[in-house]
This record gives sequence, C-alpha cells and structure tokens, in this order.
Amino acid sequence: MSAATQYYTITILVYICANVIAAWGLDLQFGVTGVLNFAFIIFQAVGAYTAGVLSLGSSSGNGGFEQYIGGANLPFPLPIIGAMLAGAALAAIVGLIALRRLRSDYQAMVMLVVSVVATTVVTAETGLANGAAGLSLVANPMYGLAGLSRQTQSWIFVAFCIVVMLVVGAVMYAVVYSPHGRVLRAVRENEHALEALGRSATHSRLEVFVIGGALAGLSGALLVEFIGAWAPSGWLYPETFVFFTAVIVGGRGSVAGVAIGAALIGVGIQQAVQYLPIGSDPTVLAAAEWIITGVLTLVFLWVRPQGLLPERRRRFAGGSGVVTR
Amino acid sequence: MEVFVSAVGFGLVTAALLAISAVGFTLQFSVTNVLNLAFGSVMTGAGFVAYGLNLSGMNIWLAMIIAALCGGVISVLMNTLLYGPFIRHGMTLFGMVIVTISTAVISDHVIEAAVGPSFFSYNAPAGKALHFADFLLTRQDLTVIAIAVVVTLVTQLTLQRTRLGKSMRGLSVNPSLARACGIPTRRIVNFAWFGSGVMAGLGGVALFLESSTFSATTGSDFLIVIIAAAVLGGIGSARGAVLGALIVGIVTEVGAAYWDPQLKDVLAFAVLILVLLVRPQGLFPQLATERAVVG
Amino acid sequence: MARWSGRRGGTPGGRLRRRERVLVLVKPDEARETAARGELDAAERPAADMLVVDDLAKAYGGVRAVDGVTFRVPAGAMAGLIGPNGAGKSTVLGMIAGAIRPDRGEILLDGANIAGSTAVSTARRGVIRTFQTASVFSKMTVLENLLLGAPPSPGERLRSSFIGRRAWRRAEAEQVEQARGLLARLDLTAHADSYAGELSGGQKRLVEIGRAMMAQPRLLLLDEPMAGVSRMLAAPIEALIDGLRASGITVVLIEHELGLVERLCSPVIVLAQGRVLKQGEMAECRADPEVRRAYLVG
Repeated sequence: MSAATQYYTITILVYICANVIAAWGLDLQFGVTGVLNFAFIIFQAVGAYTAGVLSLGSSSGNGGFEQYIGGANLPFPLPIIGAMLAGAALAAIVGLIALRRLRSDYQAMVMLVVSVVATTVVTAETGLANGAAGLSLVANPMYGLAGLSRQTQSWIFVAFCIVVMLVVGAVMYAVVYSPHGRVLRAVRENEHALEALGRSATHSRLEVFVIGGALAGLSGALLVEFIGAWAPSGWLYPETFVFFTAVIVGGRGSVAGVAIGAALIGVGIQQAVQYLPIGSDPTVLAAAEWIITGVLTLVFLWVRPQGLLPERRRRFAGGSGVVTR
Repeated sequence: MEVFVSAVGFGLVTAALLAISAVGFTLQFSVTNVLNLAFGSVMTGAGFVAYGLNLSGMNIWLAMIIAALCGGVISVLMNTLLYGPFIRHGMTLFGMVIVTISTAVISDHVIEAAVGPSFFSYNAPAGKALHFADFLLTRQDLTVIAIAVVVTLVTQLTLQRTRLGKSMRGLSVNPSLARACGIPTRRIVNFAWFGSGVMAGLGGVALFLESSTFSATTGSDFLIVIIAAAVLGGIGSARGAVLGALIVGIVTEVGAAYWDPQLKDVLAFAVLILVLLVRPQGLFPQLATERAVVG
Repeated sequence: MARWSGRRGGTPGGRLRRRERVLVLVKPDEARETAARGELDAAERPAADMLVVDDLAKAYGGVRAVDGVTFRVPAGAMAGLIGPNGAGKSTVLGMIAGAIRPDRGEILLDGANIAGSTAVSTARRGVIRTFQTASVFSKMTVLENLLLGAPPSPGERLRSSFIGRRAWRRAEAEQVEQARGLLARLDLTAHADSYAGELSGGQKRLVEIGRAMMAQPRLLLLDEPMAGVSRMLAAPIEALIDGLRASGITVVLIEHELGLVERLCSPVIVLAQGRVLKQGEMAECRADPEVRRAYLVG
C-alpha cells in the first residue's frame, strides 16, 4: 500500500470506530430508552477537550499560546479514561437539571438550547478551552512508541481503536439484550405503565444518559488524539443531528444496525459526495453531505423507520415457537 | 444611565425583530402543534429573496413585502408536501421534530450551496440615528418597530375578531371538536401556515436588515432566540410571544451593555432554560396538555 | 419467588408477617369449596380491611374533582367503584396508585398510610393498576410484557448484565414458565411472540391484566377493564376478573358496565361529584333514591 492509501485507510478506520462508539451511546439513550438527547454532541466535545487537556500539560508550557483550564501530562490511557469520566459527569449534571417530564418536543428544545449555550460559552470564554481557536498539538499517544515508523505507530492506534470499539460493542450487546435492556425499552414504550409496575423511569433515563455520555466522551478522546485538534466549529448543535440519522438509518435499538448506520452516515456520505458530479468546491461538498444526510433521514422515516437492521424480536426458550402474523 | 436607556432602545429593536418572528412561530405551533424548527430556514430564504431583489435595484421595503409573501407560500408548501403527509403517516411528536430539523438542515444547506459561504448585506441606508430621550435609533430601527407593532395588532385582531381567527383558536384548543363542528380544518391550517410564513419572511428580512452582515445560517441561528421568546411568553399565545420578545430583547441588550457582549445570547438561553424547568407553560399558558398534531 | 417490600405499618404491636403468596388462578367453584373448608391461604390476613380511604380530596384549579371520599375495602373483596362521568372515580384510583398527589386525606394499605407516595413506590408495595386505555408495551412481545409484570428482580439491575448471569437466567426461565402458564389461561399462547401493539383492544386488555397478575399484587386497581373490548372478548375478560376475585386478591374495579359490577362486585361504592353517595351491595345502591337520581336508572 502506498503511504497515501495507508493514511487514507487509517483515517477512515479511526473515524468509523469513533463514530460507531458515539452512535452506540446515542442509541442507548434514544434508540433503546427513548431519551431525546439533542445536546449529544457536547458530551463528545467534553471528552475531546478533557483528553486533550490531560495530555497537553499545563497551559503555561508551550510558550502559553493556548489557554485552557487544568492541564496535565498524563500517560496513555489516562487521558482517555478522564474523557469518559468527564462525559459521564457532564451527563450527570445536565441530566439532573434538564431531563424533565416535558413533552417530547419541548424536551428536544431544552437540549438544543443547552447545546447552543455550550458552544457559545466555550467560544466566548477563551480561558476554558482556548475559545474559537480550540486546542491543538494534542499528541497521538502511539507516537511515543520508540523505534517504530510513524505509519506503524498509526496502525497501532487504529488497532487500539478497533479493540476499544469491539469491547464497547460487547458491552452494548450485554446491556441491550438483558433483562435490564428490557426495562430500558419499556421506558421508551410506555413509561407510565412501567412506573405502575414498580420501576423508576427517571432512574433508567439518568443512567443511560450518563453511560451514553461516557461513550460520547470516549469517542471524542479517540478523535482528538488522532486529529490532534478540537475547536467549537467542529461541534455546533447540528452535529447531533448526524448521529440521530445514523441511529435512525441503522436501526433504533439494534446494536449491529446502529454500527452500520454510523459507518454509512459518518464516513460513507463523506466519501460518497466526492464521487458526485458537483465539482470540488469544499463548501458545496460540505453542503451536499448535509443535504444527503437530511434527505436520508426523511426517506428512512417515511419508508423504513425501523432502520436497515431493525431491532431484534426477543424470543424465549419453550413454547411452540409459532408466531401468528 | 444613558447606557441603560440606549441599551433599552436597542433592546426594543431586538424585541421588535423577535416579536415579528415569535408571533409567527407561536401561531404555527398553536394551530398545528408542530414545532417547526425549519422556521429559521424560511426566514433565511425570504431574506435572500429580498437580497436578490434588492441587488437588482428594488427598494428594500418593497422587496421585504415580496419576500414575506414568498415566505408564506414556502411555508404552505412545506406543510402540504412534507409535514402534512408525515403527520398523516402517523409520526409522533418527537418524530416531527426530527422531520422539521431535517427540513431545516436540507434547506439551510441548499441555500448555502446556492449563495456560498460568504457574508452579505443589504443595500439599504439605515438613515441617521435619531436622538430622543437618550434613545439612539435609526429610521430603519423605527420602521422595524413599527412593523412589529402592526404585525402584532393585525394578528391579535384577526385572532379575536374574525371568524378565521376564531376558527384558528378553536382548532388550537380542541382539534377534533373543531373538525366535528364543521370547521374546514385543512383550509384553516393552510391559512395558519401562510400567515406565519409571511411573518417569518418579514422577520427574516428585518433580521438581515438589523444584522451588519448575514449568511445562509443567520436565520436558523436566530431561531433559538425566537424559541426562547415564544416559550417564555407561553407557547401558543401571541400576546405571550410579544411579552417574551420584550423581555428577551431588553434583557439581552442590557446584559450586553453591562456584561460581556459575547454572552448576551447565553443570557437569553439561561432565562429560557430556567423558564422551561420552573414553569414550562410559560407566562401565558395556553396549551397545558399534550395533544395530537393536526393534519 | 419475589416478594413485595412494605415493612411499615401492619398490626400495632408487631410487624406484619409476610407470607409467600402463590398466585393461583382458581376457578370460581373450586374457590368457593376451598374457602368453605377454610384453607384459602391468601384470605388469611391479620387486618380486616386491605384498603381504607379516608377523606381523600383533590382539586384542579377551582374544580373539586374529589371532595372528601371515604370508603373501605375488606381484604379479598372485589369492590366496585361506579358513578357518572366526572364523578372522580379515576382521580380516586390515581391517588391510590400514587399517580396523583392528594390534597388531603389518608390512604391506608393494610394499615400503612401511602397517601402521597409516588407511583413507583406504591407499586412496589403491591398496588398494581391498569389504565383506561390498555397500556401494553407495544414494540415488545406479549411474553416480554408479562415478564415486566413480575416484581422487580435483581436480574434487572445494570450489573446483572455482566455478572451473575447464571443466576438471573434461571430466575428468568422460571418467570417465563409462569408467564407461559398464564398465557395458556388467557388463551393467548399463539401470540406469545407477537408484538403487543399488534393485538386487538380486548387482547391488549387481557395482556395488561395478565401482566398485573404476574406482579402478584396485594391490591389490584382495574380502571374500566371493559373499555374498548369487543363483545367477543368480554366474556373471557369477565371470567378472568371473576377468577381474580376467587383467588383472594383485593380488587377495586371502576366500571360503567353495571351488569358486570352487579355480578362480581361486593361492596359497591357509588361516587358522584367527588363524593361517596353510598357504599353497600349493588341491590341496596339500586334501591337508594339519591343514587337513582344521580346515576342508576332502575
């Protein structure tokens, strides 16, 4: 493989892993439990910022050209773990305040506003995370491995991302297809009926909010360590919509489905637009990506709302196995 | 003190901008129960229609009227071709949020692809700043305020005095009863979309006028502030929308004058979140319970 | 077998002795026999009244939906709550179930005051309710619906998704067996793996009641179980409710179909305009002039 092809493949693989992990987080919240987290992107962002800050060292170092709070020079994989904790913590705070018994579209609006507030505050308060310029020069942890070429180091990072993704996938399977998963789906279906059976819907919603936040943070950490930079322009409120599309197109509540959806929507569209006969103006290409994403969402909502790989019907041992209709 | 008064003056202009759009947004919502997050895109679209007309030499106020009518037509089309079918298809409330956001995303980026990522401004002289009682307002500002007043009055009168308005209010309170009483639901809904679309158009052009520059995303970016005003006042109430607009407009401008100008939107949002948490129905609650969307 | 919590209250001078309660769908004649022999386990209760509602009230804005309602339901009885529309029946039920917060009054469940408890904690105490519109979990199978009726088990915890799988798998298999037995009783075996949302109104009601039975409730609240049920399924549902009565669960039943109330319920509580008009046997209520004026015709 030529160097360029290798770099291309590496980039795609890392993005796929990160997107799939994040989409699983949103699927747990929205697909399985029905929580309308329209602020999802901020949890990925807090993970990226945390991982960045925890590996950049104190802000006065590097000639002080970046300002941010905190700062440590922690060894791998601590920044990533920190990112997950940050995602979970932010989710706990936002969840406790903003997850309310509001009608669903109101709830979506509250979350949207939270998302907008986050980008506005981070952009304006440069001391937090270097404002609009964002963090840069975040080092890939694998670049510290001595005696290996840059390419080999990158492939090791890819392998690491894939392993993480598989582990998260296993965790998702375990949770979604267990009795606990059954309770979560019941929250989505009819929370009043569930509460009348002695289970707390609020408790479940907060729980998946926090877990989903941690997964989003993990995804952000992987991205920032690969890209090396992170700025508010990359996590504006419409970005959450892309993840919703991935979940809807892939299959709400289906672990494998959402993974496929995340790969198709996140990376697939970005690659596909380059083959469209619309020239190579980056603005037009970017606009085309968004337009295709929006259209896909509408098409799937109309034609196949259950997604490409619908949620599996749970069956149990015993019985004749006959299904009527 | 002068700072405060002039901030209030600016606040009035912002409030006027907000009022025009918030009344439209809330009307759309109250009659059809759809939270139309593509409202901002309609504003942007109308704003650019006016831009095109203005560029070819038309007076901006005339262009505004034409653009507003376009906004009305676009809104009716959006409902007829997209929202209506999805609602009849059985989409849930939250499903409709995704539908409207998808529409917004598509519209905004179609506009962006068409006009490019740059920033624009109208060819419309703002006029001299008029000083009175420490207020610092241009003729343009005053016109916008006047438009807001007219829009609010016309809406209020229509809703309270005309049969159309009464039908709209009936529809908003109890859709099935309204239908059973023989109210031509489809036609009323179309009127509601047209009227609110016109307001979106007026609001969009006014927004572009009052912004030093505008781009393809200006309308949608402003939508969140519009939502803040509409929800604060009590979604579904035109009076509430105006009150909400006044509060948000003045609070943000005064906050910008005394605090950090970059964070002035955050103030509006903080107010909105507080209201949603403490009193989700807003100041003038009209819609206390959840209902099905009107087709 | 899972048990309900509910340590507070009980007889003065001691904690209530809890018994393992096995839900037995007893056929009515069988039940009468065993009751006569004094062997019906579930009927043994230290306290005489399972439910005491005392001066319950709830106002919405200016409207007093419930205005001082008092009645008692003996353990093992099936009480009928009837009255014209707007009398406050569903509001009373909602307050007992914990879904609505009373403005004042006491609700004594086996002696313990549960007024103001949340829906979740009330359910955990063994008070299970159904809804006016059959509230099944639509995109889940009928079997899953029934499994969710069983009392909350340790297997449902998040950590159980990773550790202790063997333990909860066994418990779940037992519950599945129990559910399948119930399905057979409900004549819904063919639909075990169908999505509950695809069933007819009457079938959904059967699933909803079956789910409530899986919960092994101490007190079962049925809100208009016949609403939305086709004539074809009315008889099986009535038989099901009759079987509940025979098995000794305390039931409060809101119904408009007075025939059913007459056949199954004792006592009958008549509500009108937020107040109790009369409590007694159906025949007494029919005879009472005030009740006739407010509600019953003949």
